[in-house]
Amino acid sequence: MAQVVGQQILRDPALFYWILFPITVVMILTGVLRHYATLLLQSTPKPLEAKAIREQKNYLHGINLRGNANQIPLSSFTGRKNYLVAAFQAGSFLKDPGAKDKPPANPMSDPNGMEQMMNMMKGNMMMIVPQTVIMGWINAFFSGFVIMKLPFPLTIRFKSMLQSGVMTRDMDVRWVSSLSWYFLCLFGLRSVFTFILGNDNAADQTMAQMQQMNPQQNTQQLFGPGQDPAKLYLAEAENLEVMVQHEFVLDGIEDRVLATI
Amino acid sequence: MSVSSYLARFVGASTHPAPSESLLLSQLAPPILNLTISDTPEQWSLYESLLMSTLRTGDDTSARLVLQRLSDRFGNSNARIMALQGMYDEAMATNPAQLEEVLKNYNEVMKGDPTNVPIAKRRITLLYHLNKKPEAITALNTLIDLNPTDAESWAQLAQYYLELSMYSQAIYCLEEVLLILPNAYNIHARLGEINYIIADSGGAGAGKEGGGVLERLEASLRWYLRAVELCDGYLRGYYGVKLVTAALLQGKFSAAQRQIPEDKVNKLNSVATVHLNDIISGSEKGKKGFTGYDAAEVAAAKELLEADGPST
Repeated sequence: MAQVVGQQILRDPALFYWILFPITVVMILTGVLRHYATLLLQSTPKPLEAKAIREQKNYLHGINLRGNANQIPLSSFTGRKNYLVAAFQAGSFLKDPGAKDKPPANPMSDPNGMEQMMNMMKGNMMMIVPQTVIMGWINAFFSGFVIMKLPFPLTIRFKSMLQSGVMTRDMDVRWVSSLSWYFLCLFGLRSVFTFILGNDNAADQTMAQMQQMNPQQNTQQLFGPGQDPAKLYLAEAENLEVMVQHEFVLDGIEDRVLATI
Repeated sequence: MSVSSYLARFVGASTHPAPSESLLLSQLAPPILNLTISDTPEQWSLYESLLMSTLRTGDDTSARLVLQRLSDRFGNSNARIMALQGMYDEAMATNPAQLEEVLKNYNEVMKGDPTNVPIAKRRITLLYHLNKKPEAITALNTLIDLNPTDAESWAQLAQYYLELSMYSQAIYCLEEVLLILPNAYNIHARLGEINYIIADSGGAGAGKEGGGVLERLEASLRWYLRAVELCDGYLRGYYGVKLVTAALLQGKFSAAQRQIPEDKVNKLNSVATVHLNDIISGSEKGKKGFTGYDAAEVAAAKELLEADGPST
């Protein structure tokens, strides 16, 4: 009875020292380097002007009043509501009260928006440039090498993932080509970077992608570029105005306390 | 000991530490300063707390060193470091003239950057303590106009108004705090206190609602009850309930005017008595779950119960 023996390919052990190992080391080093380069290039977010802060915080004030209205007596609530609705409608908290009726400015011309875009650009460049260079380097020197064999069997679907750059149809899926090893490193080194650089490192691919998804997440801007604060204020005034239901939380408190204690 | 265990000691300290407690914390300065600087957020907040303690106990050399390290790390132009530096300067000042000098410094900073909130707050405190109360209140109002969602500013403003007996303004400010932090039971109790004070002073500050003493007392009772509802075992809250219900029971108010019937008030009074007794005996014996009460507050509660004792 002949046992089914997997494909045997004789590999030069030097492949390990001269290809597998260098690629891995280079990937880790670029990751670390990228982290520090990103930190260097990142401009500290500019503090907002007094008027911008005032605009944002007063808007939040309205939202707070709406959310927690039941905490204060009805008379206090109506007083505040009337004041805020009038002020919101008059646009007295706006950074630029004159601009109330104008169409929103082009986000490209807004210096704050530009700053954000520059930051995003820098981040993207830090990802793209080294990746292009390294991939070119690997393609030029190491293309077509089969450098290792995985210790477990895989289905045929993984062939395109593990053997890019090697056009052999019959080779077992367990063999990994150098270009594929590069990709595996690119996407799989996350935990290594977390280990070396700490939790929120810039070398991390997924983090960078997350930040691209919602660029406003960690900036102080409440109103995104292109959003018109004047309109938001008007909407908030309307929200406050239509609030008729008010149930003071202190009503009937004596019965509640007596019932529970 | 590590940074985190030191930090836990500072966090665990009471908000108004007794002199002995401050001294103990301040004496931690040499071992903390000998720790290697690991540049973690914990370490720097530990430094900040240590700075306060050393300033409180007059350990100026340690304070200087801590401040030096903080400003080496974050730079002199960092708003928070500027405020800490200002605190140090205030503590070092030996006469009012020097304090005026610090104030002038603050004024200049504020002129350059009106959004520097830490310095703005230091300036307000300093103004208040230099007995320029109206100016302090105006400055605080400007700060609130800039940022009306800062609970700390509102609470401070309420305190200033209360000290000037401007009760309705103080109540307004505390209500603003509640809009930001709806579950702040200490603020509820504070509202109860202010209403009680108004009632106690004869309803003078009752305002246009024409609320008499009775209405104020009932409002006060309700705020206290809310505080107790939010925080079980809140000594100050139960103390207030006890105090106000006693006042409600003693006062000669007609039943028609009362919104909370007398029998309920009576029940609430006895509930408060039970809880206060629990807390007092529990904290005296150091029972589990009854630690951490302020000794002075427990003594005051005991006194209240004893004064009340013979009559009930």
